[in-house]
Amino acid sequence: MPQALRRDPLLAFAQFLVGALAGLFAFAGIMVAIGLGAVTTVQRDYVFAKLAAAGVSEAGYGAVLFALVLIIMLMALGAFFMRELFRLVGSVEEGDPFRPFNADRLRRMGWNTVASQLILFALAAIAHSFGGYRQALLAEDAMLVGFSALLVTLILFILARVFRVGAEMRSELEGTV
Amino acid sequence: MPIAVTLDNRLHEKRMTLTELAERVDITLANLSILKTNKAKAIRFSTLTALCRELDCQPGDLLAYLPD
Repeated sequence: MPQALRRDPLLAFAQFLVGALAGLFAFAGIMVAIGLGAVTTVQRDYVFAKLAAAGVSEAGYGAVLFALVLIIMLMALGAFFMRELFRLVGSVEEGDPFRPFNADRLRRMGWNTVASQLILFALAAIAHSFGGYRQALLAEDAMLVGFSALLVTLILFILARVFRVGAEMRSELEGTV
Repeated sequence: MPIAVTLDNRLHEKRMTLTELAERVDITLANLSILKTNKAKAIRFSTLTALCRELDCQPGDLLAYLPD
């Protein structure tokens, strides 16, 4: 089995894609962090002017900062999720995926999606608080994403259990003479 | 584990080495050593059959139940 799985084009492509996405999340997170730095310093007046022009009170500035922090957290979670997935795919390619650490990895990925979803809800609430049709649409999109993420989370937690049982069976098999 | 493998006794009675038995039953010496030292979690019927055949004994001669 390990030989057959080696150099699987699908796994190679998945690793490439997941690696690229991990890099993209990390890059986006860094860029937003730089943006947050700018918004609190050199661009502070510009943001206040924009908020005033949009008819949003000065309290909206805090919401903008909070949203940026949430987005950085979301990007970090995305990068961690992709890193875990990258390593999981790597272990499948090595032909030895049924190990306890992969079960732990899948469980962490499940909690990662839960945390990401909570952040998305908070972001949707912030967007909704600003009002306006566009923001309301964004909030509705976030709710739809929420349902898909719930399914993904369930699948990840179930897969974690499957891998845990698989790891136990593997351990039993290894001790069989 | 309360099940002990008493392979050593039978080997001694038959004047056979572990290496020789490994060759006869077509099991690696490493695996047979795991079995002999009670580190195995399970034993296949095929392995047990081969051991009984080569050592001319019954499964009960190779395994013992030791209550805690």
